[in-house]
Amino acid sequence: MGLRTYILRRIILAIPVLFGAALFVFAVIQFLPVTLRATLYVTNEKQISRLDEIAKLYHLTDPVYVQFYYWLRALLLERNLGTDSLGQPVYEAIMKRMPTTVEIVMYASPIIVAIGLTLGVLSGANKDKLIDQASRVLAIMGTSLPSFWFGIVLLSIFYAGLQWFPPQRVGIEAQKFIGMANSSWRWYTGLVTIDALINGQLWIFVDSIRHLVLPVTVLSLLNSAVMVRVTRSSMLEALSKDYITAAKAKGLTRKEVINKHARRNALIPAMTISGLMVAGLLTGVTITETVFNMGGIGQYAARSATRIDIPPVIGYTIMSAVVFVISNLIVDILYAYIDPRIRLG
Amino acid sequence: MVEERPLGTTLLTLLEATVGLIEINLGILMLLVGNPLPTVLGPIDAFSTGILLVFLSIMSLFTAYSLWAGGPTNWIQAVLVLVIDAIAKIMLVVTYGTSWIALAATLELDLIALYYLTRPSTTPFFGGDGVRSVLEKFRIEMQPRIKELRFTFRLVRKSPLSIVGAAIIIFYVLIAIFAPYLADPTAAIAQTGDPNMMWKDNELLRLSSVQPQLPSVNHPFGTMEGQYDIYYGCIWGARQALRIGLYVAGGSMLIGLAIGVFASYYGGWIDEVLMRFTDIIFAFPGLILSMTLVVILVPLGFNRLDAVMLSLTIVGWPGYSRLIRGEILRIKNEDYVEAAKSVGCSDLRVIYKHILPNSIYPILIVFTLDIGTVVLGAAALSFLGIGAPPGYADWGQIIALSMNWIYGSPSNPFGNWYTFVIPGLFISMFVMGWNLLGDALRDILDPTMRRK
Repeated sequence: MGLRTYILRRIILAIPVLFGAALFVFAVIQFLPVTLRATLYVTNEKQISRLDEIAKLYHLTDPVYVQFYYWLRALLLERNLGTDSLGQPVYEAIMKRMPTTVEIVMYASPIIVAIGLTLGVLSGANKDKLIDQASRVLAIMGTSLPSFWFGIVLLSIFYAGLQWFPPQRVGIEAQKFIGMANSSWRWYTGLVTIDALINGQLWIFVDSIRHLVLPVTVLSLLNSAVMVRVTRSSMLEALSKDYITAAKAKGLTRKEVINKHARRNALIPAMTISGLMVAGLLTGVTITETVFNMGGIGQYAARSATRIDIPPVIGYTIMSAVVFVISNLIVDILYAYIDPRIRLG
Repeated sequence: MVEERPLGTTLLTLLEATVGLIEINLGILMLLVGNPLPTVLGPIDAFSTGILLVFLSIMSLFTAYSLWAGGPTNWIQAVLVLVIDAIAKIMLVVTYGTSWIALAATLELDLIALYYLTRPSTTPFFGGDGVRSVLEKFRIEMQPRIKELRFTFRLVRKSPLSIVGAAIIIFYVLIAIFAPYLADPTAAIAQTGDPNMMWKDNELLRLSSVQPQLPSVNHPFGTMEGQYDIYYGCIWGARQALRIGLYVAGGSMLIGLAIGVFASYYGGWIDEVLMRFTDIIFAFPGLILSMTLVVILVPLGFNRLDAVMLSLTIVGWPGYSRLIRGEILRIKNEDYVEAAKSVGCSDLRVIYKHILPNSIYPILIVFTLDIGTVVLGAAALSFLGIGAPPGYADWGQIIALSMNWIYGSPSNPFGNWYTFVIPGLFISMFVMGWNLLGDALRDILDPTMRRK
């Protein structure tokens, strides 16, 4: 099987999963009474008083499969995710908050990969040495500490105590500057750090980085724990293989054996975990954004959940399923690209 | 002719069947009529207790059947049976406090087991021998298992992490059982009628409004927003954590195993449908899906705690199904399974005697680790405000209430440290205990690693 066939096959296999996920969410919604379900289709405030019309428009009293068709159609064609209890369409609300979340994840991911792979390889190569013990402690901590508590402790030290890293997306000064009517600020990417550089406002860049330090720390420390674990065990496995003995027998130095023979083979299985990491990140941003009041989509969904406001939560769930499935697809394809055994086997 | 069965098998089978049947009755009764038993501590989420009891009993009946079908093939099965029995009893005590009913229930189980063992129709199993030779037989029969058990204990002794983990867990179990003595529930019951709700110090509320108060004689860990006693919340929170962990991880395990075994052993379209369904559940990040399910379940009239447990279980069981499926597919084609089939063993017997014992290790390990994960997830939901109802003794909620008080005062910015540091340590230690134990079990129980 060639790489192209493999990729095509993976994409075709991902479609029923996405469809099934949509079906699952739809099935869950079906438990709600008609009036509550109708609010999931409302797109402006005027419609809230006319839920009967909505129910008729989207065939909410028709057989289930007809409903599903119109629900999926509204979702895909109109991008209709309903309106939250504050009267804002969910799709727009999510899109507006997306850059903040993207920015946090953008800074956290490379850190996670760097810590995870480096520590994993080091501790696998130096089993039971100090570095190994240290990274195991990190791994246990990462799986045992509640992320929200870790965030609160960091806030109390670095915000309440030292006043270094405040919560929220940017400080009040920067907010004022960005929001001013005659401001010279222009949005390009939606990412504050990048746009600040493009706008030439170095102080806003510094300010936004200060606000990002804590959420990124929480997200990357806790998520890298899983990566350290997996890399370590795949490194240990690689080191026990026959080709390592052969390499040693050839008289290669320990460094060469580890760097050229063991590490390369150990990193491949570690890559598959990056698909799981996306789930960790999505869950992680939901909590860290809430703790640090960042105003991203995670916080939006969590705040809505607290109010038992269903449309935003459903919208966020659908979105995260799509992101998760697609990123797993990408990981699979990359994996096959790097390791020919996968696509040939 | 009476079929000869090993004595240990007979003992365990009868005990298990009895315990299972009693639990099923208790559980169904609780599910149907709420809490039928008068308890000192009042009605305590009878619904979820009922669910747990039914789960436990189904599992113990299955185990009893598998024992009946041929006896424990290895020591772990025997231990598993005893552990299930112990959990059932602990849960009874945890749920009903140390009231007379718990004592009576456990005594009753033992008495009925004893009755079965001594009544005339069971005596043929003793082979008509005297008690001494019965004990002798028992000793000889159990010898290889005892040897394995000793070996396991030696491995446990060699792995300090597992001892630390187990010690932490025992510590929390003791806290949960003796909560009424460690933190007097009189004030809580007087205020809310439920010992699982934290009590407010109304005197302090009048004096200093909602501002958290430093630890004092009346409040060893201080008070949090609304003058709830943190010490009380931390102690009774142990019950909540154990309850959620065992219910959700146990429930997911039982459902997952039952469905996974059924589907993968018979294969075909059932298997296909099951696997596609787990694919769908895995398409969502777990915590986000459970958040959604809670948000849907609460408007439907579910009580908050039930909604949390139900949603975490729905998210959790496919993992076990997949795990057992992989194991079964691996073992299914092994020679010894083929051999068992060719001599005419029934499907159930093959599953329970050959497949489950060989795949029980990874499941036990995942179960242990899962308890920690589940408690973390439930705490996160509580933190987001959709977990435990307001005022419930729940670690996640205590931390959530501390959010507004991170900043002490200009002169002392860390002034309110106790509102989040102490409950945070409680939850982290709890999860760490299960993680340490799970990690250590991985090395100890895995038969391929065991003798290395």
